[in-house]
Amino acid sequence: MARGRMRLAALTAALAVTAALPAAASAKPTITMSGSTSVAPLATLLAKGYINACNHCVSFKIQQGGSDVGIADVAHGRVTIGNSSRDPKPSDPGGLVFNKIAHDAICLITNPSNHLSSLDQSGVQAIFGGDVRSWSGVPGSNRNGTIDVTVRTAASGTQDAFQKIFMGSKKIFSGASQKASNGLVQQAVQRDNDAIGYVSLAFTRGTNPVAYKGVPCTLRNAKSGQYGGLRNFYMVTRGAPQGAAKRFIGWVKHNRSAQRIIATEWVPLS
Amino acid sequence: MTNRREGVRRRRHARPLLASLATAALCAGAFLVLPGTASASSVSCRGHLDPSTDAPVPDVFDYQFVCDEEILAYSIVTNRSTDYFDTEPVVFVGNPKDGNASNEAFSCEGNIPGFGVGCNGKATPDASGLRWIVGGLGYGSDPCAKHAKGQGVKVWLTVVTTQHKADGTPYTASSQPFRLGGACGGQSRAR
Repeated sequence: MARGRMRLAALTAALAVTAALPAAASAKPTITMSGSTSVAPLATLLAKGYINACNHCVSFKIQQGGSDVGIADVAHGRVTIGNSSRDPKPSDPGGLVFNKIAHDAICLITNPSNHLSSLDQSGVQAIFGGDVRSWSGVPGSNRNGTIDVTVRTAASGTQDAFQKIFMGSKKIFSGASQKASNGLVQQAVQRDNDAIGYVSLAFTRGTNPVAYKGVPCTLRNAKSGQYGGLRNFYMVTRGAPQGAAKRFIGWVKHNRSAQRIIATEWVPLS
Repeated sequence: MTNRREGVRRRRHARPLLASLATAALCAGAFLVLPGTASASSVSCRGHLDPSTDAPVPDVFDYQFVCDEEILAYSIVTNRSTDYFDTEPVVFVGNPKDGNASNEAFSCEGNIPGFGVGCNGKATPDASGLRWIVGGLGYGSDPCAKHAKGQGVKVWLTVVTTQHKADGTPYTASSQPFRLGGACGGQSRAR
């Protein structure tokens, strides 16, 4: 009788400890992120760097969806940080803090068979605005087919940044093909001899990057400030960052290891 | 009856109770995983891992896989903790070595640290060829190093496809896990 009761007690205790383990394990905070597909490659590298730097003090859950999705998610408390590749807009929900973490270059790209070397702002606006529809009308291009304009979807921060930096008040023409990510634009331009698009600097492989105002889109030119197509990357929080998010964003902005990570394909703030 | 015999008698009575509890637990678990009336996915996939040659961090392995049906999503699960993943794997038409990128893509999400990644998008084989998906997973340390339990890195793939009922109604289905070939000396074993 005594041994049976002891076994039952031991089993009960073991079950109780097992039930308590998950609660104990979840004491390590989780930083959830969603948003910009342009920021996502940098965010994963920074997350990896941070967990090594802080000895696995946090864990990360990284999602995408586009800058507008990240901003909406953080505004509604669905994520800790919303990643954004565009500046704040008046239409954004209130109470958000846009924590700037890096700069990024937006590069104009054509298919490698199109040897277009440079475009000025009027040329970009004429092509993406639909005023010029044939490559034969673009000085410097060796092609003569119809221009296939490829742009990003409405939720994209890259789209907003491109509009603001390159297009100004001129609208992108309605016949442009919309893609949901940098990678899809990159691949569309790689496959289409007559395509033109724009991507984050990290996505120019396999394309012909076109100089803007005579300045090639390179990391060196972006860092020096010579390249005119720079935009900001943000980690957006609901109010000032707190707790684990505050420590992480502080590390991103000020730690040398973080700055080295950013400098691989992006432009550090300092 | 001696105390020892009494103890043996009571232990014998306790065994059926424990067995019943264990059986009930197994049945409950089975009930939770039993599928509905939909059929299993008919897709077949294969793939492998190779050490990455152009990853931004060390200890990254590129996974490559191909399936014989259109896939809408996939998950990669591994037995080692990962601390990096490609957020936008590339879809190739035919052999990735030919460099013929498709106009399709996947967007990946996951935990860091984690045990894999989940990706959404589309890859549709057609007359131009099957679709190979290539992405990266970072392990934070050499995944081919000798593991404490003697096990090498192992990777499994599951995909989501569209199936059709007898009346033509489409539904999504998850496949069985497919084991991807290892990259450690060509075998999925610890060195």
